[in-house]
Amino acid sequence: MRDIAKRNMPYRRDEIPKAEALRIFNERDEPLKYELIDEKAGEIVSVYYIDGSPFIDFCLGPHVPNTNRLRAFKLLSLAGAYWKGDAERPQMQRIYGTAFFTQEELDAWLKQRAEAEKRDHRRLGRELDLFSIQEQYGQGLVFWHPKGGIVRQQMDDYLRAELVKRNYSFVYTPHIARRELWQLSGHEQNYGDSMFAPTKLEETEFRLKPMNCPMHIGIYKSQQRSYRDLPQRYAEMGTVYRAELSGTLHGLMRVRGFTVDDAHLFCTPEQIPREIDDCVDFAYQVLKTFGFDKIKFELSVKGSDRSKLYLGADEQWEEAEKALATGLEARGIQYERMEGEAAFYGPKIDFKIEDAIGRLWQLGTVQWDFNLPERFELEYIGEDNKPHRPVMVHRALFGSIERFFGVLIEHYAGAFPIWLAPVQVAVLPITDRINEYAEKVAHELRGAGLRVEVNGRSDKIGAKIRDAQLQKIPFMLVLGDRELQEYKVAVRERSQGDIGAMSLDDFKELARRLVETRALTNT
Amino acid sequence: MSEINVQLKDGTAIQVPSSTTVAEALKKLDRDLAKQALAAKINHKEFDLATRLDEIPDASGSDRLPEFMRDGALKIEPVLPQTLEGLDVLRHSTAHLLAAAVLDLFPGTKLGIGPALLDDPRYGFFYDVIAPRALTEPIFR
Repeated sequence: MRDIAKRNMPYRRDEIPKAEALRIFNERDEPLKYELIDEKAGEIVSVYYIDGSPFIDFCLGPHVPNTNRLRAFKLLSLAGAYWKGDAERPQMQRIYGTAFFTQEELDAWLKQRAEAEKRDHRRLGRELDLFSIQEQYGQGLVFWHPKGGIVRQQMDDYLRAELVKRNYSFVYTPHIARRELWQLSGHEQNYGDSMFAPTKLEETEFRLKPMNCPMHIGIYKSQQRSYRDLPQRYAEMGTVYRAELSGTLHGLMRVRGFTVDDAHLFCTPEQIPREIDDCVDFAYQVLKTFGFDKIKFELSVKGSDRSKLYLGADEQWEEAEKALATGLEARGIQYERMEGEAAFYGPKIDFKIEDAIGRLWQLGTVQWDFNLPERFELEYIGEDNKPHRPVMVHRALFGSIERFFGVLIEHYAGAFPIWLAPVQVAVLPITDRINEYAEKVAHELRGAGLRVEVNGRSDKIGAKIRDAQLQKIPFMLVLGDRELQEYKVAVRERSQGDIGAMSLDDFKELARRLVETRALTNT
Repeated sequence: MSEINVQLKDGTAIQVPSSTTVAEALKKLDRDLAKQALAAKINHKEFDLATRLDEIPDASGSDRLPEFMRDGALKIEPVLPQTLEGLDVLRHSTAHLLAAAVLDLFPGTKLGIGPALLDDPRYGFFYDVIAPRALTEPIFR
């Protein structure tokens, strides 16, 4: 590539009749290109050559004038691919590369990429024994191992406690429902491609849920609601299933079964400002707790393009958009207004966070819905004794818990803050005769609610420290004869190294304080 | 020979023969921009720098001129480095370069598609090929 680039060959474009193009590509024995031209080209075909090379391509361009404009490029990897993504068609090799305008940009990008690779959640998930995805059970289906399970449980516990404070109610709903339900909700018509196929029992067809909304509606509709009952706030760690194609699956980031920290709010129009304000505050607080300081809020609105079909009256939209904007502005939050980005059934706020190496991730949403209340004819009896339509808001903060976990692993590079860490303290006796003391220390720390592991194997202490370090355990307690005699612990912190000896009580207090405050660093 | 009035976004304008290439016209308008340009946008459509002005659809036949050009000026905007459009062109051209190199090294290779990627955090372009024998990473040297 470099040779051709240096030779400074021109990119040459030509326009030729389709028949001639077909003849050329046939002559060159390029059956795939031939097929493309045959299918896609008009009467006149645009082709490109690079002078001095047998290369010719069916392509609209434009291209740079000469090959010496290409200075900073690199080939990156090879992967298998099928012609037109069709497994029935010939298998090909896909050569990946990248290019930038300057060598400095390319170098910076390669460095960032290496950093991202080091943090890759799939790799760390294996090394830290957090989760797996197993071909034998099915692609895109996640197994949370005991250590990943601890992190999830901590996330869950934290969120539940916050939901209680904010007066949400917890609900649990079925994973499947009758096919007719999904037709009524519109999911089958609008979202059918992403749903698993129906399964039949006796004369009834059922489908797995791709979203939780209709289920929560079922609870709302189970009785007549008065304005006095509103708002109803239903929260559920709701597991949903999506028929994603295998080619699009990626670790925890894109899967076929995942759990949403879902909630649906049903309220009167008057109650909306308070609810939106609370959602925004909630999102802000949760994301901060996990150490995401840079949060990007986007407000997706209807925009001025009237050719798109939207449900709901203009005044409704105006009010909804205003309520969302006010919710953000009242908290002094900067946001970007995304004109024309709203879903057809209502405006929304998206949260995107920037991770430790500057990548943006889309997480939760506060989404207005004009659609489902109509379809399900939701009602409440107002003060005027007449039926009214409630406002419905979908709301998730983590979004998919699996995906959020993936983002957390990469953000922390596997070194979870102590409150999330699967193992918080590694007790490392220097010799076997300290093992008994090590067990005693561990026992006492466990009594204080800490997650502790003792490494009582007869390895050298250096190896034990390295092990604990690789497992990214926040604290290591190195115990020898002196610690035993003085009833002390020598403390190592995973990023600061040795921080000195202290009494077991002092360490216990330190660790407990860090856990209770959900400290992001152990200082 | 007919002449075409060519104009930059900032209003700078010149009169050039219609057989002038986009590159030459740009050079006369602004040497610096011309040097940096990877391609150019004319009437919001992208063209190669080697394109002659009279090859641009609707630019020569005056009765078919689109509204915006009837005041006589062909509005030309260079596609520059450090823009997304520029990166798109650069990476697409690099994909072609890759395909040319593969054909040089492995005659008989069949080509599939080779687009630029702008949103993928991991890659900037690819080319799908069927080489006479399976390629391995050492070809990346």
